[in-house]
Amino acid sequence: MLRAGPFSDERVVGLANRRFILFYFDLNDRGFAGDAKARAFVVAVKKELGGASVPTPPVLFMTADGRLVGEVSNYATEDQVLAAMQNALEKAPPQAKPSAEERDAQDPVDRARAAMDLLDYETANQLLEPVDRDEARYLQGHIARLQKDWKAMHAAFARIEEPSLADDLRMERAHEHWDQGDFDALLESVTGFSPKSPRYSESRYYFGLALYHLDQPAKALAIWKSTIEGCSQDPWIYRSDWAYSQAASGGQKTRSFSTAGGSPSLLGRIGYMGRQNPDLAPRR
Amino acid sequence: MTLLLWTLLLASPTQDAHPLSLDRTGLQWVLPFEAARKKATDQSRLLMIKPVAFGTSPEGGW
Repeated sequence: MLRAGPFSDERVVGLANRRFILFYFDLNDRGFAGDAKARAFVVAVKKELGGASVPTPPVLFMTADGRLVGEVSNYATEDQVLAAMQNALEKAPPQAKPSAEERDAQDPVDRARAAMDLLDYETANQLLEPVDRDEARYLQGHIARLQKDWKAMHAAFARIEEPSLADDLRMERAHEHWDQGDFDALLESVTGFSPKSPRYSESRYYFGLALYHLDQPAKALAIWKSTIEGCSQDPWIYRSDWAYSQAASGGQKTRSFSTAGGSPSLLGRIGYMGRQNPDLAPRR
Repeated sequence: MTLLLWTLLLASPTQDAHPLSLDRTGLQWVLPFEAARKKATDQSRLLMIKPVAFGTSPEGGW
C-alpha cells in the first residue's frame, strides 16, 4: 500500500508532480482500472508481469516511447523511492528540464517552492532569505524541519507573526519531539487541535503514536479509529489506517490486507500491506 | 450569470479528471493510459507507473 507510505510523503508527492506523469492500472484487464494498452506497454519491458500469477509489481519509470529507465520496489521506503526518482531523472535529462511555468516564475517564493519540491533545499533557502514575508519564513522553517535542523527551524518560525499559521507552526514543532522520541512532549504538543484545522488528522496520527509509544496501545487504537472514521481520507488517514491495522493485528507483520477473511483495515483497503509501519517500531 | 458559470466550470479541478484518478495523497494521477502517455510526450516527462496486482475499486482504491 504505497499510498500509506511513500506515496503520501510530501517530498515524493512534490517531486512526482513536478517531474513525472503518474499513472496506475490494474494488471487484470477486467479490473476497474484495467487497461490492456498499459499492460502491453509494461509487459514489453517487464515480461514477468504478463503471466497469470505475477510478483508484486514495482513502480516503473518509463519514457513515453517505452524505454524503462528505472524501477523501485513496492515495499521501498520513502527515501528509497526518492532516490529511485532522482536516479531516473538523471538517466533521462530531456525529461528532467524545468517546466515553462517554472522558467517564467517571478515570485521568489514560487521559485523556492519549486526548488523545495525538487529537493534542492540550498537554492530554496537562498531564494527565501531576502524575502520579508511570513510565508517565506514558514517555508524556511519547514525545509529546516524536513532536514531535521531544529535550530534553524526555531529561528525561522520565531520571526513569524501571522496568526493563521499558528497550527502549522505547532505541528511543525511537534515533529521535533517525535524525532527525538520525547513522547510526553509530543502528546502535549498535539493535544487539542480543532477538527477544522488543516493539520488535524496529522495531529491525531501523532497523538496516537505518542500514546502507543507510552504503552497505551488501546488508547492509540481508539484515537486512530475515531480519526479514520471521522475525517475525509488524506495521507494521514492512510497512514493512520496502516498503524491501526498493524497494531490491531497485535503488531504482527501483516503482508496481506485482503478484504477476504476479515481485514483489519478500517478503510477496507484492497491488497497488501508491504513493510510494517516504521512509526510503530520501538524508539527508545 | 453565464460568465460566472463558465468561470466556475473552468476553475473546477476535477472537470477533466478521470474517476479513477481521484486520490487524497496529493499525487496528480493521469488516466487512462493513452492520456498519460500523450501528456508525457507533450510535456517531455517520464511516466511513473504503478501496475496493481491485487485489484482496484471504482472509487480509485487499490
